[in-house]
Amino acid sequence: MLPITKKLINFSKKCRIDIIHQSMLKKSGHLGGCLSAIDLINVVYNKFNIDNKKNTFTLSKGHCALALYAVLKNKKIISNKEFQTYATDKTLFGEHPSPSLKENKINFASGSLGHGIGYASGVAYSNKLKKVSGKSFVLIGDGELNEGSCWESIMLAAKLKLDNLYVFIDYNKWQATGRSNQILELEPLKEKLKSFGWASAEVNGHDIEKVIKTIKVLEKKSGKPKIIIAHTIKGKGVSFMEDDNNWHYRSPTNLEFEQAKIEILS
Amino acid sequence: MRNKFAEIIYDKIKKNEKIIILSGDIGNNLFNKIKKDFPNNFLNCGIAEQNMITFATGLSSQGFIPICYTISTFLIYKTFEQIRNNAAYNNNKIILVGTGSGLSYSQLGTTHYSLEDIGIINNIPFINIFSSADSNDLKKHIDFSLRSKNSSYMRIGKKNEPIIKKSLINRNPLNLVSKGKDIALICTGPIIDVAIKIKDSVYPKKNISIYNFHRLKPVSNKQIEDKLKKYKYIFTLEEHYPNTGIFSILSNIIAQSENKSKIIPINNNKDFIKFVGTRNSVRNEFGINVSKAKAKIEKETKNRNRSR
Repeated sequence: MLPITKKLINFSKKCRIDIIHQSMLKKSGHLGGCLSAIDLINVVYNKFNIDNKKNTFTLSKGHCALALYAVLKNKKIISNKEFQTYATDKTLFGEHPSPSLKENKINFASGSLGHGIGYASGVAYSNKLKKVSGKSFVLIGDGELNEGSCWESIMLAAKLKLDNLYVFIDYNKWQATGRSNQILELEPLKEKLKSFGWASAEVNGHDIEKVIKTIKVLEKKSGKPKIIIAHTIKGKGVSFMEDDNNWHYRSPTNLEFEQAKIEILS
Repeated sequence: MRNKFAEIIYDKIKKNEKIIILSGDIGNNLFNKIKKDFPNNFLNCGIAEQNMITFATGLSSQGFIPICYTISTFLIYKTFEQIRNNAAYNNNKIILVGTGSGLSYSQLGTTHYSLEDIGIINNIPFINIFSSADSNDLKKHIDFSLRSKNSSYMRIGKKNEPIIKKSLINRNPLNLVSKGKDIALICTGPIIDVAIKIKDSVYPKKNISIYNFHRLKPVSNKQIEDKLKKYKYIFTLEEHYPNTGIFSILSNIIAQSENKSKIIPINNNKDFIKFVGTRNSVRNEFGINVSKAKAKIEKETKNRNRSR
């Protein structure tokens, strides 16, 4: 295992504990999705210098803001003190990101689905017009692809050949009320995206080394926007949360937090 | 108005390369000159208005000044959330230019009539609303929109709107077009031609002042009160539902003031327009053509005079 991989695995562990802890303290939901997305946000932030100037990261599935805050905290972009204000009175760190955190902390205040790809495409196109080399990263959910606006964005990005645009799908196979593949016809996703003119790849979204490799392979493909279908597990890292959609809604008890922590650190 | 818009924007782009026109697949040939001379400053985003707005906000976040151009209904109705969240809430300045506003597309039917757009945008904090009566207004509104730090919605017409008012607009939202005494007739957009005909046909005509309400947001209560307090009657005339249009905006201000004038919408229409036709016939259906407006003014002023 490469040293960077080891470092990133430990980083994810810290973030997972922070996320579950805050969910317990503040009784906030969307825990399952935060745990499916965390490894991807981790890779983007640690492999690329996300300063939201040159390289930008757009969290399209805004309900996983806690996962983003955990990364920002462990990257020391926000302080622990700021992080601890999560979901408290008068905080800017709500369950969805606030535009008051813009500039270096967050790039885009999301919360409603179907906006991130279009926004990040605008950023990517700006870089093309300015002839600068920054990359525009976005994280979306699989359920989010129900939104027609995503497909409008997908078509424009392909037309514009935005090869500096990287979309990650946190493909955890669940959305609010059921399996994403049963609610709408999502598959065959890779072929679908390929036919829309994108360079697409599939990867285990929790295998940090493979995610990094997949990005490297896609980086070489010029002239096409990139999409990484990251197969993930909702609630990943904690046995009693994994693939159980109840954790879209509920928060852990003190005891459950302690159990989760032991599992993550073991 | 739209041809003039394309001309003005060409000159603006010439001076500022950050301005980018995004089109929702309309304006066939309208932007040819821009496309030819400044190909990077024009982009057809396809028939995909939601993405056009969001994409524009991404461009705006990187220092560009995107102008989103399509028919008002499609520009505003499909995209409320994109405008609210991504432009206003995220503070990414964009300029929305809605063409064929009001009843401009009289023969195309209700899907193309923008009779709710002012109300929709007026709900969103920090967006300017400009409503151009003619190309002179349009030129100023483009300047205001470019200069403002906030996003703007410009409600413009279609083509061949005559320039019939002599007075030019300034920073006051109400532009006096014709001076009178007891009655203020306030209109917005190209319907100014109807207002002038009403004045010419109502006796005594020296009684009516006509105002072009051209900047609908932001408005300061004081600016409006100062201009309107001297009138006994205020009538509003608009190609828009009055309950969310200029009648609503002015009623709100007058309700909070010491002003004792009566405010009355010329049309009190709450229904869809069932017939299409010439603009005049559709205005008639909507209750805002000359004869209906004249009848309304005469009835209201007579009734109230009698009751006093």
